[in-house]
Amino acid sequence: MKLTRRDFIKSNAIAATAAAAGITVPGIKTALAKSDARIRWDKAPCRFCGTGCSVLVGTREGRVVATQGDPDAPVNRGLNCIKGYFLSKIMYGKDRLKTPLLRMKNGRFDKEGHFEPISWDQAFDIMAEKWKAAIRKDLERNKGLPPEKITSSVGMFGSGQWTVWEGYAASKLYKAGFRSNNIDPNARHCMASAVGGFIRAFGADEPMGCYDDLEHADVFVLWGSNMAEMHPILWSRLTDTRLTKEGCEVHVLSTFKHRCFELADNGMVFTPQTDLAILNYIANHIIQTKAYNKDFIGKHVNFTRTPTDIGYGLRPEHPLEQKAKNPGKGKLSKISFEEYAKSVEPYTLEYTSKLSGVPKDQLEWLARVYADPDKKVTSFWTMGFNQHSRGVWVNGLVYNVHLLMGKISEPGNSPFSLTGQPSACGTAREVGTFAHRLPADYVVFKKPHRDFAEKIWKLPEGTLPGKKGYHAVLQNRMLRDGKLNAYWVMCNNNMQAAANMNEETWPGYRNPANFIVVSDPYPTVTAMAADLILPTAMWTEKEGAYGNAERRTQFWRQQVAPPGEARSDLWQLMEFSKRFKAEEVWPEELLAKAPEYRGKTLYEILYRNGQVDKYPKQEVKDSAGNVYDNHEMEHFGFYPQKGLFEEYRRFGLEGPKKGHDLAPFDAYHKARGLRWPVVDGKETLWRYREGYDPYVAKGEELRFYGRKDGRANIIFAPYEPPAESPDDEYDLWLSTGRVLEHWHSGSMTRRVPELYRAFPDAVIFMHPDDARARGLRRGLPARVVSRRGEIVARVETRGRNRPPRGLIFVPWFDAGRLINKVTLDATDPLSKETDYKKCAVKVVKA
Amino acid sequence: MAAAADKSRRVAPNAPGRRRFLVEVARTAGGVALLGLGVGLYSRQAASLPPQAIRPPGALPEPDFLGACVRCGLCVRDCPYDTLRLSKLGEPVATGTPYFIARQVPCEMCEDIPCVKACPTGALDHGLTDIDDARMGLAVLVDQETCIAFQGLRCEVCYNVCPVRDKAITLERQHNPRSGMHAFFIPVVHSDACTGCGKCERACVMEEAAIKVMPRQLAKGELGHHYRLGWKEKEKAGHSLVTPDTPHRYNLPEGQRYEYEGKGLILDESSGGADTPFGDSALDTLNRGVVEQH
Amino acid sequence: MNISGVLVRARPEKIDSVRAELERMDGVEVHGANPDGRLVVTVEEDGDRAMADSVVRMQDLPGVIAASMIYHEYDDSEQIAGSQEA
Repeated sequence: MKLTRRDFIKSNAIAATAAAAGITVPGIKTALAKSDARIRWDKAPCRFCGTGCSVLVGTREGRVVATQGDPDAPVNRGLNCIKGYFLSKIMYGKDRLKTPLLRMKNGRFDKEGHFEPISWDQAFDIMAEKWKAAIRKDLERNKGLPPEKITSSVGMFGSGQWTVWEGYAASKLYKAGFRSNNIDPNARHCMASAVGGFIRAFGADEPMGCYDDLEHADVFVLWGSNMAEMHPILWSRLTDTRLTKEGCEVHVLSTFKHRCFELADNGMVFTPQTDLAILNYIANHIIQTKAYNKDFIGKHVNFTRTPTDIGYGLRPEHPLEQKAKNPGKGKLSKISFEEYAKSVEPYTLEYTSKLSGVPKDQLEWLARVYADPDKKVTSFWTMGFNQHSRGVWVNGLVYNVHLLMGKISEPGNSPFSLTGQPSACGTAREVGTFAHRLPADYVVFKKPHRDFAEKIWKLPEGTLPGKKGYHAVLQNRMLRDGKLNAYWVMCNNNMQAAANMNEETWPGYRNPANFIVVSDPYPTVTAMAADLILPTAMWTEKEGAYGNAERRTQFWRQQVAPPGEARSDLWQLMEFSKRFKAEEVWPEELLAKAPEYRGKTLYEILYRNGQVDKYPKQEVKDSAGNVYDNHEMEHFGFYPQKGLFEEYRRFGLEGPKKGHDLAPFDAYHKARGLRWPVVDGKETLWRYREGYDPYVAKGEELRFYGRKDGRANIIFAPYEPPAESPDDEYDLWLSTGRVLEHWHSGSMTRRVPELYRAFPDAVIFMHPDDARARGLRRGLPARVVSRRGEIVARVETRGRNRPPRGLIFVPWFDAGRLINKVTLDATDPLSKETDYKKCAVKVVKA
Repeated sequence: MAAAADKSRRVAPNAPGRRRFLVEVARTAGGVALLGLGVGLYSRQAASLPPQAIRPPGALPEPDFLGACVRCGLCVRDCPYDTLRLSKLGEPVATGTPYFIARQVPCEMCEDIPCVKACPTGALDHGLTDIDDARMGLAVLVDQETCIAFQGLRCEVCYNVCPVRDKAITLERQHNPRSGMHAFFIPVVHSDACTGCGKCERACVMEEAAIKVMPRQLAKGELGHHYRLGWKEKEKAGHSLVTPDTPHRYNLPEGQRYEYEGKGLILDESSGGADTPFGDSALDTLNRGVVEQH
Repeated sequence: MNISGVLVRARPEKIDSVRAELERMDGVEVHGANPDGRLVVTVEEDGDRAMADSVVRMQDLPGVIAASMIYHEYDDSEQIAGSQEA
C-alpha cells in the first residue's frame, strides 16, 4: 500500500478528531500505528554541552521528528536536560540559511553592499580570489624565511562544536595547505586555561578521571562551576551521590549564589579573583598540619614556581601591559619543598578570609576535607577557573592541593576540569585546532613534532610553519589592524561571543582590508557582520563524531539531508581546497623537495593522498539493516570521514607521545562511546595509575608519563589582582555566563519556541539593595555601562542567581542584548583565554 | 509567532489602539446593562469563573469582587505588562471585569502593584502592599505523568522562573532508582508562598502545561479537623509535645551499634566500596594478569 | 498545505443535512458521524486564512451548534505529494 504524506497527515487529523469526538473511524488507527512504526531510530550524542549525553534520534520521511534519551548510554541512562529534550527542533528554525549569500552592489561584491543569493561556485570564486591575493603577499614577505619565521594573513576561527574530522580537515588545510597557523577554535574562550594547566602539571591534556568519580567521591568541591545549570545531567548524578551516600558533602565556591548553592553543605561566595588565595591557603593548611602525603610527593611530584607580574594579555601599548614586569612569561623554575612551603605561608586563614570575604569557619572546613586522607575528594571547575586572567595559574593551584595529598588518578579522588562544548576535547584539543597545536598533544613550535606530522601527512620537510599563529583574541586585533585579511569563521558565533566587541571584533570584521566568510546554519550576529555567508549542515545532517569531557569519543551517522543548498563544514573545506594549486600557496623551494606535487591541487595533496581517500564508497548500515545517506561520500566518491579519522588516529598510535590511542573508526559506530586511550579494545577509566592505565608498568604504581621524568609539577603561583576592578564610577563587578535553557549564543535554542518562552531575554541579575540604591526595581529596564560599551536589559532581583552586593551577572545568550559590548578583552597571558567573569561596570536607569 | 506578537505588544503598552479598545469594551458593558438585554447571560456568567481565568492581585473573594468591581478598566490600563484584560461580551468571565490567562501573559508581580493602586472601589484590596502577599491563585502540578522532571529530566523551568522560588516552588531531590545514579529534581508548590502569578504555567515547556494556576478553592485540599501531623506539631512547638524520650542503650555484639533516631541497627561500620583497584577474587586477578598487561 | 481535523456538533435531527452541506464545501471530507450529532471532518486548504474561513463557514451552517478545530498540521515540504511504503 502506498501512502502519501498528505494521506498520512490526514489520517492523523482524522484520528485526533475522532478521539476527541469519541467516535471510531475504521481503518484509521491502523494507519497511525503503521506510520509510527516508520520512525527509524539511531543514536547520536547531544549537540550541546560537554557532558556528552546520548540521544536516540527518530527520523521519518527525511525529517527528525522525535528524540529520546538513550537508555543504554552510560552517561545519561535515558535522561536529558531541557535542551536535550528539544533537540529534534533545533534544525528546523524557520530562518535556516539555504544558499550562499554575498554582499553585493550592482551585481558585484561590495563590502558595503547587501546580501544577495549566489551559487556555491560563485561563492568559492570570490573566496579563492581573496585568499590567493592574501597568500601572494605572504609568499613575497616570507621569501627565504625558515618555517619558524613565516607568517600569514589568512586565518580561520573554528570550533569545539566541529566534528572530529571537520576540525582535522580544517587544521590540515590551514597548517599544511595554506601554511598558516592562524587557526584557533572558540575553545580558546572556553578551555585554553585548562589545557595550559594540564600541560604544565602533567605534560598531557585532559582529565585523568572520568564520570565514575561522581559515584565514588565522598566530597565534591565546585570551583567556579555552575554544574546545576551547565552540566545538568552530571549534576543529577552528583546530587544522587549526595543523597544516597552517607557522609557525602558538597562544597560550592563562586562569586555569586547560583543553583548549586541549593545542594551545598558549605556554600561560599568569594570576592572575584581571590580563588587564587583560597587555594594557596588550603595548601598552606595541608603543610602546616603535616597532612601531606610524603610518600606520594617523594615519588611523583616536582616543586616549581611560575614567573609573576605577567600582565593581562591586553594590547601591548595598554598601560597595564607596559607596567607588567614579566608580560606573558610562564617558564617554570624548580624549587624545594621547603621553598614551596614558605611561598604559601603568607596565605593564613586570617589573611585569606579577609581578602576573600569568606568566613573563617567555612574556609577551614573546606581545607580540612582536602587534608583528610580518608576522604575522597573530586574537584570540578569550568569557566570560573578558565575564563580568568590567571586561569592557567588557578588550574595549577587546584592540582597542587590534590597532588600534595596524592588524591588523584583513582576512583573518587579527582581534580576534574569539565568542558563546556560537545567536542572541545574531541576536536579542538585532541585534534589540536589551536594556533600552536597539532594533533594528539603535538605542537607547532617543536621541530620533531612538525617532522612527525609532515611524515604522516606525506609532506616535504619544512611545510608546516613553526611560529605560533594568531590566537582567538589576537585574531580580532589583527583583523582590526589589517594584518589578517582573509578570514573564515566556521561553526561558532564569535561576534556575539568575543569580548570587547565594540573596540575589536566589529571594527575588525568591517575593516575594508578584510574579507570575512561565515559558515552557519542560521543568520547569527556574526553572519550579519560577514561579507560572504555559507549555509551549513548541522548535527545529524552529516556524519559526525564528538569527544566529551571524560575522553569519550562518540559517533553518529547522517540521519537527514540538510535543507536547500546547505553543506557540511567538511564538504566546504574539502571543496574549497580544490581551488588552490600547490604553486599558488607554496614557495618554489618547498615544491623542489616534492616535485610530484607540482600542478596538483591542495585537494589532491591533502585529501586524495592515498590515505584520506583509502576507503571506497560503501553503504552505511546499522545493525538493524537500515541504510543511511552520506552526502560527502556521495560527492567525493570515497568515505572521507573514515579516511580522515584513520589518518588522524595514527598521530596517537605511531608518535613518540603515548597514551592517545583511539579505536578503529568502525568500532565507534557500534559502541556508545569509548574513553581513550583505547588499548586492545579496552577503555581507560583512570589514567596514570597502575591497573587502570595500560601505559603504567607493573610495580610503578603511578606514573605521569606525559612528562619525561614521570612526575607531576606542583606550581606555586601567588594572588594577583584582576585587570579591572570596580572604582568610584564603575562601581560593580560584571560576571557573564550561561543559563540552563540556552546553549551559548542561543542561535539554536532561541529558535525552539518552548525554550525561548522559558527564558526569552537576558536579564541583569542583581542584589535588591543594589537595585534600590540606583532607583531601580525588578522588571525595570536598566543600562549596563562599561568603559567599552553598554546594553539595556531588565533588572531581576529574584532570579535563580543571587549576586552579593557589588556584583551583577548577565547571561550572554541573547543576541538582542550583546553583553560582550561591555566586557573587557583581558586574557590570561599564558592561555590567551578571555576573562569574561570580571570587569567593572555601572548600572543606571534606562 | 505568539512570542513575536507578545513582544510587539510589550513595546507599546499604551498604544492608542489599546486604549480605544478598552473604552469600547467598557461602553459595550455599560450598554448591555442599560438595555437589560444580557441580564440573564450576565448573571449566569457571574456564578462561574472558569478556572483558567485569574483575577488581579488583591481581588476580593469572587462574589464580593463582582459586587465591588465597577468595570472601569483602570487596573487594566495601568498594568505595564498587558497582563490584565477586560472580559468581553460572550466570554465566560463576567463582562467588563479584569482577569488574566497565565499561559498567555502571566502576572509580573510589580513591586508597586499599579493595578491595585488604580482600583477606585477596593475590589482590589488596597491593603495589599507587598506583592508577595498576593494570592491570585495557586500553582498546581496537575500532571505528574507528563511533567518531565518526574521522569528524571533536568527541566525545572517552573522552578527557575518562579519569582518566589525556594518558597513557592522548591525542588525535592530524590534518588532515581531506574538509572541508579541520577537524581530526580521534583518541583513542589507551597501554598503558603505561591502568589498564583502564573509564570510557571506560562513557561512550562510541555505542549500543554503540566503545572497550572487554579483558583485557590479549587486547588487546595483540607486536612480533617480531627487530625494533626505529629512531626509538624513538634516542629511548630520546637520540642516534643510530651516529655522527651530517655536515652536508650542496647545489648549489642562487638562492632555493631544502634542509631535510635537514624538508621537503626548498623551491622558493620567498615564495609564500604572497593578501595583498591583489585577485585575480590585472586583467581580472577591471576587469570586476567599477564594477558591484560600491556 | 494545511490539513485540519474539525469536530462538528450538529443538532441530532439535522445531522444528515449538515453532512450534505459539509461535503459540498471545497476540500472538506466527512469521515464519520455519531447519531447524537458529532461529525469527524477534515479540511485541506492552501493558506491559513482559508482554513479559518472554512471553520467559520461550518459554524454558520444551519443546524450546526459548534465546529472546533482539533488537529492542525502545516507542511510546506517539497515531498508532500511523494509517496513511500506504508
